[in-house]
This record gives sequence, C-alpha cells and structure tokens, in this order.
Amino acid sequence: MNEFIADKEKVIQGFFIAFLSVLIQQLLETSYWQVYVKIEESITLEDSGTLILAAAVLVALNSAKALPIFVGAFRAIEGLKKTGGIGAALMAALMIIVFYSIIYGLQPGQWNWGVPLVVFLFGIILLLIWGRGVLKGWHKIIIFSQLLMGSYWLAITPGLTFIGFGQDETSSSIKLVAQYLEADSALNFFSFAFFAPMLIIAIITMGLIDNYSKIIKHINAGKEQEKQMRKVRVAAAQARVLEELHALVHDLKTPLTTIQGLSSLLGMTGSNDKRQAYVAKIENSVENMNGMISEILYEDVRKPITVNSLINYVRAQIIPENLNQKFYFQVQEDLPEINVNKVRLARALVNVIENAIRATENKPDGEIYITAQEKGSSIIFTVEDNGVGISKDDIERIWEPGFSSSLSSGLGLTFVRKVIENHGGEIDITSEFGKGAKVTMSLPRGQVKA
Amino acid sequence: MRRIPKLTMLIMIIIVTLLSACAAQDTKVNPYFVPHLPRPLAHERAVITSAGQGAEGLVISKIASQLNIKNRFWRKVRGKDLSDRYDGLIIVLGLSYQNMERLKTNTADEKKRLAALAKGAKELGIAVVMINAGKLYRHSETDIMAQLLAPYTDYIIVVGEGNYDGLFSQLAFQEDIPITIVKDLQKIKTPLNSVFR
Repeated sequence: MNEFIADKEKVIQGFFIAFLSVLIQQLLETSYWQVYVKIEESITLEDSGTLILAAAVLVALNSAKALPIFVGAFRAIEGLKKTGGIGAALMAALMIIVFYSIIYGLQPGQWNWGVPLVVFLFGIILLLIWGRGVLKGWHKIIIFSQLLMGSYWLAITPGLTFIGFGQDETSSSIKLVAQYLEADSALNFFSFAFFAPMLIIAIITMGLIDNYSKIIKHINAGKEQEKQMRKVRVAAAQARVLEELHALVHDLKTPLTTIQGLSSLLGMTGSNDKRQAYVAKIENSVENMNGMISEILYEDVRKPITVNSLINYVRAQIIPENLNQKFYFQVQEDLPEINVNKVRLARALVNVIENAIRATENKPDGEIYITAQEKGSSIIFTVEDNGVGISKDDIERIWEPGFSSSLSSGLGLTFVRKVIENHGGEIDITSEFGKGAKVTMSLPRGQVKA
Repeated sequence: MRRIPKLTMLIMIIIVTLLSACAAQDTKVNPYFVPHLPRPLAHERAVITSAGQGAEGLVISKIASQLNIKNRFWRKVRGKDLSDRYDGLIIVLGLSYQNMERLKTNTADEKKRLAALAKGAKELGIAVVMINAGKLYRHSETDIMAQLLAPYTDYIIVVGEGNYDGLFSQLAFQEDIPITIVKDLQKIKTPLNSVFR
C-alpha cells in the first residue's frame, strides 16, 4: 500500500470529506420532500414556473449532497505518489462510485449515474489535467460546485432522457409533469440555459485560478531572486569593506616605518639616558603595533598568549551602553597559553560581548557573564546575558550574512564564526526569547599550547 | 429467361409466407390491443390513486378533470373507502420512495392497500383501470404491483415505451384485459375518455 500512497493524511482527509455526503444526505432528507410538495403544487396550479423552481431546488440539493464526494475523492488522490496518472483517476472514480452507492442505498429511487459521470470527466479535465498542482482546497470546492450546479440540470432535461440522464424518481416526476404541462421544450431550454453558463463559469474560474497561481509563483520566484541578490550584495559589501580595511591597515605600516626609522635616528643623536629609554619604548610600541597590523592582515599569524591576557585585552575594549549593565568575568586559574591570532580572536569576542551589551541596554538589571575554562581537550569561552534573547525564527537565520535583528550591518556574527572556525573551533548560540542568550565558543586542544 | 419467373415466384412465395406468419402473430395479440375502449366501463365518478405515491397519480387526475371526468385524487384510498358513489377506480403505477416516506408509508403497505382496494372495487362492481406513464416510471416494485392488480383490472393504458419488455401485454393476455398503448402523455386522453360515458 505504501508504494502507492505518499501522504496518508491527505487520503484519510479525502475519505472523511467524502463521508460528509452521507451526513448531508441524512440532513437533506426532509428538504427532498419539499421538492415533491413543489411538484404537486405545479400540477395543481398547472404552473410551469413552480415546476422549474422545484427543479432548481432539486439541483441545489443534489449538488450539496454530491459536493463532498467529488472534493473528497480529488483530495484523496493528492495523497498518492502519482497524482496525475490513470491510477489516480481510477481511485477517484472508485471513491465516487462507492460513496454514491452508499447514498443511493440510503435513498432508493435516486440512482442516477449520468450526472456523476459528466462531473467526473470535467473534474478530470479541469482539476487533474489542467489545474494539477495549482489547486487549493477551496478552489476545488468552487469548481465542483459550479460543475455540479450545472450538470445536475442535465438530469431534468427531457431531451436527454433517451441517453440515460435523470432516471431517478424525482427527476422523472419533474419530466412527467413537464410533459403534462407541455413544458418539455421550456424545461429543455432552462436546463441548457443553466448547464452551459455554469460549465463556462467553471472553465473561466479554472483559468483565473491557473493565472493567479502563475502570478503567485512568479512573485515568489521574484522574492527568492531578490533574496539571493541581497545575499550577493551583502557578500560584495563585506568583501569591499574587508578589502578597504585591509588596504587601510596596510597603509598604517608606512607611517610606522617612518616612526621606527626616525626614532632610531633620534636614538643615535645623543647619549641622554632618558631619551634612550623613551626611544626604546617608542620602538617597542612600534614593534607591537607592527605585530598587531600583521595579525589583522594575515589570518594565519599566531602568537602564544595566556587566556587571562586575552580576556584582559578584550576587557579593555568594552564600553558599556549604560551604568546599570553589570559585567562578570570568570576565568579559570592556571589556564595554559594559547596560540592564537590575538587581534582577530579578541575582536570576535568583543563582537559577541557587544551583542550582549545591545541586548541588555534597555534592561534595568542587565547582566553579562564572560567565562573562560578548560573542558576536556578544549578551552571554552562563554558570553551569557539576560537580555531580550533571540526569537526561534531569527535563531535559524542568525548565521546568514547580512542578517541582523538590530540595525547593525549584520556582519558581526559571520565574522565571529569565521575567526573561531579558522582557529579550528566551534561556536553555538542558545537563546530563549525574552530571557537572554548564551554564546559558547570552543577552541580545540590542538590550537592550545600547553 | 425461363428461370427468372420461377425465381420471382419463389421470392414471392417466401414473402407471402412471412407476411402470413406475421399476420397470424398479429391475430394472436391483436384482440387485446385496442386504440380505446369500444364502450365505456363506468359512468362518471372515479377515484384516482397512485400505486407507490409517485406524482403520476395527480397528473392523471388533472388530465381526467380536463376531460370532465368527475374524480377524486385520493392518495391512500383503501378498499373500505369505496362506495357506490364511485364507479371507476384508476390506479396509476408510479413509485416514489421520497413521497412514501413523506406520507409515512412504504412499498409493503402500498401493496397491501392496493390488493385490498382492487378486491373491494371488484366486489362493488367498480371498473379498475391501470395506467403506466412510461418506461421511466417502471420499477421492480411497480411491476409487482401491476401483477398484483392485473386479476382485478378491466383496462390497461400504457404510455410510450412502458411496455418495452412486454409485461403489460403479457398481463393483458393472461387476464384477458384490453390494453392501449399511446405515444405520449397527451395522447392518453382518448383511451381515458373512452372508459367513462
């Protein structure tokens, strides 16, 4: 069975909808009696208008009864693996036969297969061939309502009795009375006048739905394209910023070289001890700055540093948004030195802390915990806050370049992940919306110098 | 050339034989098939009822009224309801489960009612006319009702292809009842009128 069915739920839904026809049949029982009252009224009054009214009521009742069968059958075949093949059409036909047989069994004298056959065939053409894959539930309800409301007029067309239409007791009675009132031609005309426009309306509706679906598809494709374009634009902007930053940082080396050269010259111009000490300090600072620039420019540059020094370096760069924000630093003692690109890793940690600062800026009791500890073969850095948190939808998109829940560029976390992964580590974010977030960054033992 | 007259003769003999065979067949059935009754069965007042509570009974009642036949359309007339006020009983075969349900009856009750009605009519000397409105109004249950009524029936009128399987002609033959088959409902007026004086 599973080799034919792709979606069991749809098949069950289809059967459930079709079963509604049995309930509707029971509910409409007394309404059918009213049709007989109208027929007898038309005989007594010798009024063909009343007869046509009785016919219209009969058409409406028959359509209401049959609608769930067709909607259910065509819903059920949506659950098949091959929704458009002969197998699907056969299953729909079988369901229609079964449920019609049930309601005909409950309402003897109403056997009539001509109309169900016509509706089924138009249903196959409109829904299965033309509208395949574009029709929603309510589309089917509209189209089948139109087809049924039109086709059930065929059952009371006297001119079609000879090919088997309208053999049921109520339709037969209407046709007999039409014969008595000599209104056969009028009934033929009215039946066709209702059938043809309803069929045309069903076809037009199908066309409109098809066009509507194509437009929606087009809009969605446009949106997707726009999304991709945005990603490309962000990536290009990111690349341009990095390139410019790179050039700018590189340019810093030129004045540094000048400072270094001139300070050397200054050192050679005299033997004043104080001057010599200052020159040595300048040269040392220039040396440090040179190293930092190299670390910024070249990702692979690594230098050993203690975790404590790194955290202190990070701490020096943190600027709280308001005085209520409290920072708690907890660094495990005796952590080994780590071999990292200090400038980039510190920048990554600062980015994460800045996010936490932004998340807690409007909180009167904003708290941010920064920890570093050794766990197994990794050094774990965590930044935890009790800020606004991240929604479930946003957390899935948080790593997308350009995504930002605030008004920032949205490049911060992408940079953080890049730096951590470049160091062979991993980053993870957990959050509960409204309660805060926790960012865990781990650097593997391999990156750590004991 | 001599053989041609002999061949012609042979063909003519075959045609004559076939025609006479057909004529013999016709004479076998013909006594029951009449265009209308040669003399009336009833005087003027009739009870009309439907065997199966279809709308057909009311239609025939209206046609009878158009023919100035005094009649009463009585849905559930029983044998004991008949009296010498009526001298004609028209039973129109027409089944409607919906209408039976509305009128709180069923096929079994209808069969019982019809059997008693036809029997009662016979006892009172009321002429019984059975009408079928066409092939569309035939049903296995109405066929049973027709067989049930046939022994008490004095005249059968069938519309259109109501006798498509020969049921009514067979009943006419078995029970020695005159039968008229008319083309459509409007043509029923002549045989129906012929029942009453």
